[in-house]
Amino acid sequence: MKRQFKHISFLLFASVAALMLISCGPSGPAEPVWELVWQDEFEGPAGQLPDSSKWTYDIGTDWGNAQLEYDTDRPENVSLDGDGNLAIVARRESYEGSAYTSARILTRGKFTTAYGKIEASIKLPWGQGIWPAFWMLGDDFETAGWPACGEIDIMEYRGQNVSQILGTVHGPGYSGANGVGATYDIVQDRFDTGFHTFTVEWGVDYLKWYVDGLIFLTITPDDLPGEWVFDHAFYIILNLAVGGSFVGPPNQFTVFPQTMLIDYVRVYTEIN
Amino acid sequence: MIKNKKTQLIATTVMLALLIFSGCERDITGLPLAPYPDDPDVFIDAFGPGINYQAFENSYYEAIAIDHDVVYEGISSMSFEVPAENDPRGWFAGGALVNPIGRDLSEYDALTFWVKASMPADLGTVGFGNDNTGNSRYTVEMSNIRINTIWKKIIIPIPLASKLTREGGMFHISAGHSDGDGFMIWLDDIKFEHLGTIAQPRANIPTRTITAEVGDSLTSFSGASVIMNVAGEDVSVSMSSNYLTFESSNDTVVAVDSLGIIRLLGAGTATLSAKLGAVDATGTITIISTPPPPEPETPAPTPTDAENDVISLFSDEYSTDIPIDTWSAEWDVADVEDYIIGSDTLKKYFNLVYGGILFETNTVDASEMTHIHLDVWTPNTLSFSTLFKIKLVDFGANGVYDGGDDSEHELTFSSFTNPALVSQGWISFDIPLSNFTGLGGTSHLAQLVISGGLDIVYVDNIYFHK
Repeated sequence: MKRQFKHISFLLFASVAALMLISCGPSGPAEPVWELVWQDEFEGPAGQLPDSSKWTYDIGTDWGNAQLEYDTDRPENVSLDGDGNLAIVARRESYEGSAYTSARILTRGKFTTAYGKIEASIKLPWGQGIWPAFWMLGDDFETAGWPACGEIDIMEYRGQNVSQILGTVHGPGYSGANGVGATYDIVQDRFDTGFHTFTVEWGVDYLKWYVDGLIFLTITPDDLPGEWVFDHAFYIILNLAVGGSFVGPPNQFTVFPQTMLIDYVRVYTEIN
Repeated sequence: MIKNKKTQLIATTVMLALLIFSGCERDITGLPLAPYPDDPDVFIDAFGPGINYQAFENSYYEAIAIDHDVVYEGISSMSFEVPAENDPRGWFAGGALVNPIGRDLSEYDALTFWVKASMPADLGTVGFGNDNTGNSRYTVEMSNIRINTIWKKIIIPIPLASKLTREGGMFHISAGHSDGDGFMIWLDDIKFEHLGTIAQPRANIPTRTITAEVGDSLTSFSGASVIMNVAGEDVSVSMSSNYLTFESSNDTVVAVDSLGIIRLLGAGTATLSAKLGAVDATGTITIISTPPPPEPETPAPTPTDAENDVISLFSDEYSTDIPIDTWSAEWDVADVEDYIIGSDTLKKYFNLVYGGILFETNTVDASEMTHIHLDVWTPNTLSFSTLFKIKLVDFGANGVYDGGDDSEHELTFSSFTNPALVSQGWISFDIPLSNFTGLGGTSHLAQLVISGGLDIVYVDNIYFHK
């Protein structure tokens, strides 16, 4: 908390200083100017399902990753918390043949974007076998298939590794374990004790990943062993997996329920 | 959380605005001062500021040394020589690094140190919050950490740092032999840290039921523990229950006051649940609060024996009582206090196993007397086997204890004797001294001992008469 305060102070100071410089002197190279074009702030009464004009559900299990949870559209697994957040809750319960339930919501058929700044503020869950993600999939998934459609993982995280997140892209020739990306380790902090912003800035020939405004990964077509497929519309996915190939199964020490709290999802387009 | 952030932003913006408007001047009035130092160092290359070492009782007092050869970092470490089994120098190595003034540790989240040993062994107990005064409030301990000949960093999480605004117990250690063998332990870079990677406390207080009396208070409960997640790995420590905040299910029976003291206010049953900070702990404590035992509402019957025929030990009826050395001998198991009804004073014995009334300095010559009298009232419920015993001890002609001519006799009473024991009513014992057949004489009576199994008795009108 203290560190965050210092951090915010620094940012504010920097922005005030920047403003003063801008007002007093010639401006430097143009920074992107972003315009908010889509958002969900998750305001509403506790227990309410997410806005159906913005989100739909993937209902089922496995998803090609050997995930152990059954994803539902029940408020027990996905609903507003009444404090301006969306809660995706993974529970240990027997349901439709699975030992866990959770949720996976997406903007497919409701909203897609090609390029822009895609950002969410999230407080992550924790524990062995807990796998939350904030990611995007090419809208041509049904026709082109995966990985040709492209996948942008803005944030993935292993609940047993509470101070590290991953940013990754998957495409033809670089999918699954061969996805291209990087990890970000937060110093003297963890991702399950407070909200952090996870951001991707996506241009015609670049993808940039940020945590709390700090850049940690840039990918351009030259960085990829295969085709750059990030040139068409993608939709947004938020999900909280239990188990699966990426994290392994939960163990007896994993505490349930686990909650992924999302304060907002915002999408901007560049206007300059 | 979000609101917090906004508040911070506003606060920071206001501060920035103030800075901009006030230029270089800095107004420090109104800034709170930390009342106690927040120095993190316990032992780096020497004891940290204000710290001294206090060996634990019965430990090998010379176990500790400063070692310049075996160090993790810097120029020295702290070594402990753990004695072998049956070492005459001490049973174990143990002591506390204490800062008697106290430190404010509320900004840290762990005590950390490096440790190695001369051979693989279990490190008995290490922790903090033991200031070696016997009144430690916030002790935290880890037990049986496996150590070996390679330096290893140990992290002991602080369950709730906001409690530690004035802590004297910086570090403590207690280690015994390993399968009979003594060994060496080296410790280095002992310090409090803010790691930022400790979270998700899961506290437990073992579920139990406690029976206590209205008016009693309880200050702590044994067995509290917490599991905290340290950078992805769960770590379990035992802790004082003072880290927990208790809440009662029924405030009229059991109330928790502002200092955390649990007070039994009324008869009934209440359940205490606990929180560590904002997080619920598992386990509950059920308190059965029993009404205090009844007390006599009427004084003992007024004695009718004439003053001239009486040697009184204790009575409001007679003008003179002989001097009594003590109403509760050092060797007895009993508490005694005066209990007053109206103008009448009684002796109340409680927690009574056996109580010794001594008049050894001025022994009583009751050779002219024929009876001993005492009135007894007990709140205890009686069973067939409940007994009350009265013993008289005579020190014999030499008048001294253990002079070779001491004699004694004990009489036993029950619900079937004359007089019979009754509950919550006065029992008047008026016993011929001749019943004490084991007494060699009654001219140097020195002790009256009551016992038998009643744990509360009120006694009045103790005298010899004829």
